Amino acid sequence: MLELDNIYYSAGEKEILNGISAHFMPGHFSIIIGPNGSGKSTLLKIASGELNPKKGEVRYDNQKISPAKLHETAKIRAILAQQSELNFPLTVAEIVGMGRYPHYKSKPSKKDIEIISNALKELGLSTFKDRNYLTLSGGEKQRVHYGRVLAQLWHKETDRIRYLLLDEPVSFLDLNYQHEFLNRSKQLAKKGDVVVAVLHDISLAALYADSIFVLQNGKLIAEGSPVDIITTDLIFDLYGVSCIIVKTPGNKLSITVPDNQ
Amino acid sequence: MKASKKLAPFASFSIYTLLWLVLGFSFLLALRTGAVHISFHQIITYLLQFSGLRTSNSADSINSELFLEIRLPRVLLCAVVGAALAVSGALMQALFRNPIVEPGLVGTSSGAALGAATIFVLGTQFKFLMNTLIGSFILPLAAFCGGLAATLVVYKLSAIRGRVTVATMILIGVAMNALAAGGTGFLSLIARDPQARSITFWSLGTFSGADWSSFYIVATATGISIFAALYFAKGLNALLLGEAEAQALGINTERLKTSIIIINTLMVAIATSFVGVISFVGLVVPHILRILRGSDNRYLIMGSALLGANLLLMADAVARTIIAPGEMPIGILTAMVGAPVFIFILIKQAKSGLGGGFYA
Repeated sequence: MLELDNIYYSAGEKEILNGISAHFMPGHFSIIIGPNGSGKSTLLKIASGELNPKKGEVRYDNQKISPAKLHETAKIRAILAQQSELNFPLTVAEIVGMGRYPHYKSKPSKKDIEIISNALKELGLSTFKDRNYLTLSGGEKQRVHYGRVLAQLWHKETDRIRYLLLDEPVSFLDLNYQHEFLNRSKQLAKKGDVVVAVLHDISLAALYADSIFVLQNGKLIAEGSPVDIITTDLIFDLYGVSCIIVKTPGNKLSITVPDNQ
Repeated sequence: MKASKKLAPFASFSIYTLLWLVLGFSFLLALRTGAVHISFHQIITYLLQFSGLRTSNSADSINSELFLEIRLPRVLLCAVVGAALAVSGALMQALFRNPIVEPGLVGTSSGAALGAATIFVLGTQFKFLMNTLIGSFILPLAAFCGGLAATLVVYKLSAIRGRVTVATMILIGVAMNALAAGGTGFLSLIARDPQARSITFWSLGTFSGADWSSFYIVATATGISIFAALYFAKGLNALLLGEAEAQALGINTERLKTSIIIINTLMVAIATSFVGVISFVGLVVPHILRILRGSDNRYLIMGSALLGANLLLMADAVARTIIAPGEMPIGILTAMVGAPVFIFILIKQAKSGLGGGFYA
């Protein structure tokens, strides 16, 4: 389990997170939503340890994260950032291969190489594995990085729970890949791992999340399964937009904004 | 977009093989050229003498001495310095996550030069110390301290919350280089004439003072540094993704960055203390290699060592012959070739918005 305990964070004068406590459960695909500037990405960065909270604690499996155990942590935890700063020419296969870095010292094992080629295959990247990353489109780049984090968590190393943190993983993707990514992430969660994503798109969040965490002005204002918490009132409160919510046969929600503004 | 999207048309193995072959060739060429022409037959004879396989022929002893005591150590030193500068360029580019960085730009070379010049001028006050064994290590040590201080200042000031902005980095680098050059200039001003002249000549970069002891010291420092750099190559690759990403891949980025700065300074400063400032080798070499086979640092570090040695050997051969019987400081030559390349890369980079656009 990934626990955030009473997290406070501020950048200069501005308070960004204001006492947030949340438990991200194994087996659940947890999705954090909220309007721009509500603190979603900051919360994920605190969960990953990239930022240190002003107050509060982050625990994985009841243990605080420590920089000394970075290497061990990397074997069971992967993070997909919103954008990568990579501006050197590397091949697609080399970047996906970086996902195996925590698992070997100087030479990748046979198993590592096999995993890399499987990850490429699964994401439909096999045909351009030798291509220069810098020539790819935004969506293709995102798929490469997704392949990298998948390769990183490919096998359950021990009986420890794996963690996958995703910051806006589908923002540059085509519709089919958006659904494929979220499906894959959900499948991973189903294996008993912790998967947490920050999403912009509330309809996608409602479709895939097992638990939704709603942020507003640095506070967690609602949490629970989509059918329980997503209401027209909540959406109006968050975005100032009236919408229609329809329950589909699979007990899913479909959210539409009628053309009434 | 280019027609060929394949990044690695050449396997690293074939690039290494080629570079080793060319290295053998440029090595022989460098041994042959110079104020005194030495034939290949003589080279082989002298090398056999050197390794004790053949007794020396007294009739030819002047040439043999010139070859073994001056030219051979010079050529070896040249190869090692070329490797050091090129590897340093590759390391600094990965650290700053920008392909325009090189040791001359981020202050390592000029800081080391200032440290070394201080010893040149003030060292005469401590003659009793300089003539001891410690004395021969004081010069490289002072260069190391100067180079380390300058590199750290440039890195710390240009990395704002772990993100290096190119404009800030270049401007701080320019300021740091100007400061160090000012210091070196001041020292040569207060120095007495023969020293002052030697500082000027040396600060332009030259192998004219090469001997066996300088080769041994530089070769040891460079060898250790390249070995250490290879150990960190994987971490440097991860760092290319960004600092947070590297940490998520289990890399202790603080330790990595500190180690890389120390390794880099060790190589460059010690080389600089003996041969002066030789710029742009560190910029051009990794750049060529990246075009051939991408940016995997495990390949780039080894490749840079080989290509750097090659390039500097050839440059030195040109520097020794172009204004014969005089000798041109090699730093002038590398600057005249390197500066236009630097401007070319910079313009390409500016046009494409991001550093990486150049290689796309």
